[in-house]
Amino acid sequence: MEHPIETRLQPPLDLTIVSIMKPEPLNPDVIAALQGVKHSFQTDRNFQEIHCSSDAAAKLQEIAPTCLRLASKLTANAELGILYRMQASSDHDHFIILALNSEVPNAPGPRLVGLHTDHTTDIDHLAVELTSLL
Amino acid sequence: MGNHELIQYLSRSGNITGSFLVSPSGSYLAGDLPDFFDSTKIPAMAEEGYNVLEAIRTKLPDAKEIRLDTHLSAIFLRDLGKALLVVLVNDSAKANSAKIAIDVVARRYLPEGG
Repeated sequence: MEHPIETRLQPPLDLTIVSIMKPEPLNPDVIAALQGVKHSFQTDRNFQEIHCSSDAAAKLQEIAPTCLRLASKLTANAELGILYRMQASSDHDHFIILALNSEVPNAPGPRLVGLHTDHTTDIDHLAVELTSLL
Repeated sequence: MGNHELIQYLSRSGNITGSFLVSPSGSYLAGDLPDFFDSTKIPAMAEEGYNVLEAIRTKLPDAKEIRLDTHLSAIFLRDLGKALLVVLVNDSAKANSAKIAIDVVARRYLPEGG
């Protein structure tokens, strides 16, 4: 005699799928429209990519973990506080990494946004604009 | 503008909590440090500052300044060639004004002996 179908359709409920779901990115088109932004990337708290706008953005995304680790070490060792954003500047452009919602353990969306912008961009203004997108 | 003149200019700007100059080898050159800052940390801070710059320059070769924002302060690290200028700003609302002062001294900097 065949088993009832329902007994074969009761696998253990796999809740892990919830924790590995990729967070939703902030709208890349809106980020691209911010003043001075040329390229952008978004990652989760483990630096896993959520969105990357171009090859140039991917190159900057590669060095983001190293840059943040070194910069965090500097501010922590000097007892100057917990790093939440950094900006590297040349005469022509900025490379900006912003931490989003770092104080909220299970916040949705990206945790890091990296931006390559021209030299006109004001990091404080940009941070406000990005926060408004959350 | 030499080392001490540069530091004095920044101190007079009114927007800066403290600043110092270190050589690439980590030697202290000049500074005006706030009471809360532990000066024994300067050599390590210089080394770590140059390490951050080096990492960034692998993809952004012309990078010359880094701004780090923490919940306590904004920290500027400006490569002046023969020295690294470190500027602390405790009031983030003053960071943009501090940046203008940093640009002024960077243009005028003429290190002693070179």
